[in-house]
Amino acid sequence: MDLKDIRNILRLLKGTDIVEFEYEDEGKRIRIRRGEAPPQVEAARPSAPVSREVPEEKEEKKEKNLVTVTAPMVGTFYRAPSPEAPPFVEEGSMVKKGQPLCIIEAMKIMNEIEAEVDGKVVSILVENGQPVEYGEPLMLIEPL
Amino acid sequence: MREGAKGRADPVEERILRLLMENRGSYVSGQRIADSVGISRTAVWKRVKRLKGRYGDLIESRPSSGYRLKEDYTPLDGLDLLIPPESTIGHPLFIYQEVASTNDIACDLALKGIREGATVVADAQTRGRGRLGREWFSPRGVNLYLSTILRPPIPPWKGPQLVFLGAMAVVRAVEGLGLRVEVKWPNDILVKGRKLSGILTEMSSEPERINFVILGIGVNVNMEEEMLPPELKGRATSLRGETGRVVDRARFAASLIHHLNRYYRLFLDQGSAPILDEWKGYSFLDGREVEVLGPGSVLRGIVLGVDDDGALLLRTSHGVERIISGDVTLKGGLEDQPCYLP
Repeated sequence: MDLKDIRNILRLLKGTDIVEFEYEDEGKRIRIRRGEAPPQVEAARPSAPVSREVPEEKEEKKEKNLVTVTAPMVGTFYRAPSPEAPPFVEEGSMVKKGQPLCIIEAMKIMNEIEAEVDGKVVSILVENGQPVEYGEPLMLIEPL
Repeated sequence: MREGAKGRADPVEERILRLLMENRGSYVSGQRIADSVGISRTAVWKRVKRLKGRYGDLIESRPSSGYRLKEDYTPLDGLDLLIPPESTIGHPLFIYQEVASTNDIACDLALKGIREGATVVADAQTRGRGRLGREWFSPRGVNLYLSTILRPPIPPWKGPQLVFLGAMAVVRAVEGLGLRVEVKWPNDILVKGRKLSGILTEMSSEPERINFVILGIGVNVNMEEEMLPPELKGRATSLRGETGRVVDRARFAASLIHHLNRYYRLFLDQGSAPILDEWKGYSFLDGREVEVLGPGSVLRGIVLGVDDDGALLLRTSHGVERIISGDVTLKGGLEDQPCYLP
């Protein structure tokens, strides 16, 4: 079992109401317990705007339908192609599959993250210019 | 394969340009141009005037002799013949007179599913860009603007390693001209502290795989100091400025493509470690006092080097920080990104 497997498990759990999960294989054991509060993002960013609470309530209700966009690599999260340009998307924006959502930058390589589904951006979980970890949830999209 | 700038260039202008290129360095009379293209001398004059708007001082006119394209102009045409058939990089090759940005063209081609190694070069860029929308100074006919498409079978988190491949390919191509270079982390190529080349790497990925990577490389080849906008004077340099001679752009591009191909093979066979090891021998920032400007934060410290992933290690008053993004500025010296316009 490696990080990828764990991530896949976390992903599988995401759309369910399973609270606890245990798995053993060749002497290695993993136990996952899920709290009420969604992503640790909130804790890590105390300065987050208050308005963010609203979409998260929605998330609880509709959790099953939402697609989480996660960071495919460690880097800096950008919502626009340049500081002067408008953001790729806003909360509430309708997006098409393949449409750019944001950029993650590391070592000056600009990684454009595209929507994997047609849908509506319900929530943007990270502030522009913030560092993100591998696998960190960036946005929630409600598929059409 | 080769393409002109479709739909925008006047075919008569292109024929005049070709004639001037064939006779590069010597004057061609207005009458000869008129006869060979099949238009009046007045029409020739008008067209040449338009070409001058594009090529500036590279096209000269002398009342009794006619017009000439200066010898300083080294065409990119013929680059296709200098790339070996077995090279992944450079096939197919697209040569443009003018584009907004070679990375944009390459991105369109990549989205259409073109094969890995496809490469775009242009004589000029109207919207040459660097990171985060910064402008890359892209005058016509003197420098190299090249973008190549890679489709490495690696997960996205390994993608950033590719920047060292691009940097080392430029280093080797420039060394081939007998110059000594340094690399400012991660991929700015400097000669005596001035910027010679910059690389903009753009990637499109899915969570588990890379769709494509565009390696966009700008090299100042024959640009002269007086062509530089004031903001860049003293900060940028060119191969010509450093070697004291006009460098053939097509040959230099072929050498760059050769090294890109070699390093890409190495990357696919052995990963980034051997490339990063070579890179470490050129690091400009090691031991220097710098500021790292992130969005909304500034870190100060002494550069210790890079780790195995290529992240910059900075000794600060709070311990060692690992930097993966941000603009690095020398304390009290050279500014970051010296070749970008503000």
